[in-house]
Amino acid sequence: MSENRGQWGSRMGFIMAAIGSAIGLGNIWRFPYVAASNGGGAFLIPYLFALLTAGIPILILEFSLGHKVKASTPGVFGRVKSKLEALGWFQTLISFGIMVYYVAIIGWSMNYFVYAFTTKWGTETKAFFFNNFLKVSDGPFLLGGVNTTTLVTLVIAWSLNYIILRGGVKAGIEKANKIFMPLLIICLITVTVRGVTLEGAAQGLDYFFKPDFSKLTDVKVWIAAYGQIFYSLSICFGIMITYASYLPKKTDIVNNAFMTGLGNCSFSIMSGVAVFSVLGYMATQQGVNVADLNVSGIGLAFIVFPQAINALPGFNGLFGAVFFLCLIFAGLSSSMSIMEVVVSSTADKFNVSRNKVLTLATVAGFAISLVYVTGAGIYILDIVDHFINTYCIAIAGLIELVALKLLLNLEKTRQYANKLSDFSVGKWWNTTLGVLTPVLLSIMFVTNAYHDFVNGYEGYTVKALLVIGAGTVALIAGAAFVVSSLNGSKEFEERLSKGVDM
Amino acid sequence: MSTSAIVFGVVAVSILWGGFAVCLRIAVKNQG
Repeated sequence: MSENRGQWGSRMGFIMAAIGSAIGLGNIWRFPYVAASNGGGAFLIPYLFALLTAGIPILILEFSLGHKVKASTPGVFGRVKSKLEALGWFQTLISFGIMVYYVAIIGWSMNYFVYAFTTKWGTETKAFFFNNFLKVSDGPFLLGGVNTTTLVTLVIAWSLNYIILRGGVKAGIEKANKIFMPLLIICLITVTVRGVTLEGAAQGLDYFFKPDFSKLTDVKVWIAAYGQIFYSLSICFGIMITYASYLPKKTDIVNNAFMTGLGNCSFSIMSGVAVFSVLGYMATQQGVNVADLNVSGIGLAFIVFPQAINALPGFNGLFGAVFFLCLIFAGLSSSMSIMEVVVSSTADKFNVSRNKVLTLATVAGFAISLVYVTGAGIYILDIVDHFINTYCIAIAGLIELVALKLLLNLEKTRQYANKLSDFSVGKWWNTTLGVLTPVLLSIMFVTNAYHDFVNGYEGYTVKALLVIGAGTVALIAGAAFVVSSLNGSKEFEERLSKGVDM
Repeated sequence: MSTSAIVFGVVAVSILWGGFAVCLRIAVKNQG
């Protein structure tokens, strides 16, 4: 397993790939909304606290495990305890579940990149997005036909991922990130500079940064901060373990984790500046408050931002194209890491060539993702995304932390990381990982589950939530148990029996 | 734009970007 593994060509290559994986669509379209809605500038206090007590400690843990064991996620957890292999497959299948809809959104961004040059969405951006572009049906169980417009870009997005991953770790993922990351930063700087020089930008930035300290006593704000850190760092679904397994023997753990965490959050702050300066301009033009435009996710990118692009005093098309390029680069740098988890895990267990697995997984993933280019695609995407993020990742993270706390000697793991690193992490790391983060994850899980149970989700029927949402969670969990119970290659099984000295 | 918003914006950007720059500098120094 480890003998044939790829390896990063340079430390910077690994850092760029890890940051590239962490920076995704959520940094651009989720963070600004979450921050502004939870105390603005004051939110940055719990946000930084969560980064230091949950984000970076988990990164250090996953980098250490991946580097020490040099295996994919099921291989790493299986070495800790053979029954934990199922957790590795649970995380791998979460990645696969995310991949099949993430690629669809990258495809939409590609469509909108082209539309931006002529502002094809017109003045009624909402109607255009739902009726003309997605051709949405009347509900999640009414698929309608396949939308050829989004099908074409879906094929392009899958193909790009396939081509990049076919190149392997160094010539594929590392090389692609060395191109995408600088381009992403240049695009974001362009959007930010244009944004902050617009009339009314200050109103948007004031809304984004103005601290509301009363929010600091609200538990929900702290949960939102931990949730944002947890979901945006690509932790607890296999990516960072897989990426760290490609590190050379002589490397760094702690500083790499700090750079990944800080780099991701720096990007988020800059995205917030870009988004809210543009929303501030739009609010000024329309004579409304920025709070009225404060939306997140798909609504921000494909409905509100096109409106803002329409309202710009000049170079509308170019500005819009650069914004959607940001989404494309951020999306691709994450999607390739998500897919790598699936490829690496399967190739490791069954000792098959990674290119064979890649081809098979791409064909299977593409077939499943066809559901997202039907008229019901956006409904299904919304429900599946909510359930995977709210339940699957939280469960995976909770089991990972509790199991590793019980089965590993965290003090030994800390010493392993420190021995390799530019600077050391203190004993606080053991406490945050072993106590604080599992407790907060549990609170997050229970709070979200209670909220969904009482309020439902986005007005969907109970049947839709159970069949599509809970069904996806059950399918992922069931498939994880089935795959982990299959016999792996002789080499894989032998390595599992060795255990891990940590 | 209010003073508190400016202060929080500057502090947040300084901590995050500054922290990243310091870590990067350490990495480059140790690599060299």
